[in-house]
Amino acid sequence: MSAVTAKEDRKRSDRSSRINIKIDGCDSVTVRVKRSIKMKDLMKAYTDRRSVGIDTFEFLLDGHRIQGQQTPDELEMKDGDEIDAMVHGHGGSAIW
Amino acid sequence: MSKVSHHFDDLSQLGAIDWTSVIKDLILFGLIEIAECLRSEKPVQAKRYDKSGECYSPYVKGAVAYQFKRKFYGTKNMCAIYAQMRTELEEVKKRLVIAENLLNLLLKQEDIANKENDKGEEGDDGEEVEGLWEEEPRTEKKREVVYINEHGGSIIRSHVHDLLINQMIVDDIIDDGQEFLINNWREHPERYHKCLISSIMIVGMCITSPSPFHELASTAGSQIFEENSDKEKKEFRFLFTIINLDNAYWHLVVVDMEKKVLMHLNSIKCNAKYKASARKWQKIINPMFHIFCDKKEVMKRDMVETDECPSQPSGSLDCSLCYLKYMNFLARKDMLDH
Repeated sequence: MSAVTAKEDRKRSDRSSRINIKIDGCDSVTVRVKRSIKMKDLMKAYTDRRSVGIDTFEFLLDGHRIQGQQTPDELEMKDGDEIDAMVHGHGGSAIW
Repeated sequence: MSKVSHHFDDLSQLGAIDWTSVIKDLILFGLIEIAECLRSEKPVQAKRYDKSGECYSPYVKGAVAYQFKRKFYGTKNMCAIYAQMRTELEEVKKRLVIAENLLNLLLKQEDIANKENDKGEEGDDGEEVEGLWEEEPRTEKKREVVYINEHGGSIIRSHVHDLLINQMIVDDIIDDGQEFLINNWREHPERYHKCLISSIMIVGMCITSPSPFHELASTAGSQIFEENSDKEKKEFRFLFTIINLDNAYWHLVVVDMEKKVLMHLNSIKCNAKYKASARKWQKIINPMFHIFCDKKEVMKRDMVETDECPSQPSGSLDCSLCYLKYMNFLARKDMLDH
């Protein structure tokens, strides 16, 4: 009996340790990740899928830059939170 | 062998440079003058304001901006302003020497990197595997981070290059320039007004996002007013925003809380596209002030479009740096309290 409950507990904790994150860039993708994953891995997966370098996008959570070493736990992310993938802006002169 | 050690000497010299101060100097103090000198490889042609025998180039901080300012805010003690400009000009001259040395060092280093690349390719014939493995550290060297700002944006060495040799400017550099400005203003409250600056990234996000305006207003506002107490929210004079358009051009929107105007500044002749994006930002900041500052008056006023501000030289890509100068100039108390 105790073994079963322990298993269920583990399942439950496992479930709560994973969250859905929506990445909103040129197209929006929802991924399910562990809370302890480093954001660097997530960024790399996102950029690799689009065949671009990892520093092409700047990832923002509520307008704040996300550092590669941070984890969803450190960022206090909740299930269903959105990350914005912004392309760096360049500019200098008018192009008509 | 002796050559290699010579290269390493140069590299260590580069490492000793205080990048923060270099970038700060480049962005805020006479960058345009420095860049012009380096690009043209001869002194900038001096013009105007030579009553006391000293000349000022048209791009020296505020010299031309003064005319634009007079139009908006009237005149005050010109002599005091020119005296200040004179000291600033001397600082610029000092920094010009630093920048020239820096550019030489950077160019030298690029030569070294190229030579190393050539050597590596030659070596590939004999030792294929080693040649392949050697490539990685080389790319890392190019991407060497020289400065990380408060918001986590990083400047790499190639950005400094861009600054020096007339390239388009990345948002990270503008972010840093704004950070330097804000810190400078805070250090000298007797000389500058209290001002707020919205981060480039959050503005870019709001302008491109299709979400409703009130949602964007709350995200933008929470970030802009994050570090400010209620008292500061009531006291600030200006809110500066630099907006990107089509990844090609920056333009500046200024909210003046005292005069209750919203100005749209362009360093080149305005076009309908810029106006459209400035108006979108206007629609976002109106509810933002309503939520965070309880200042409804700003929203009643229409936007003032102006081409009166000094324009950037043709062929240059310095628009964002021009805006940093406008911002610094507008924030000065000696010009405004008339």
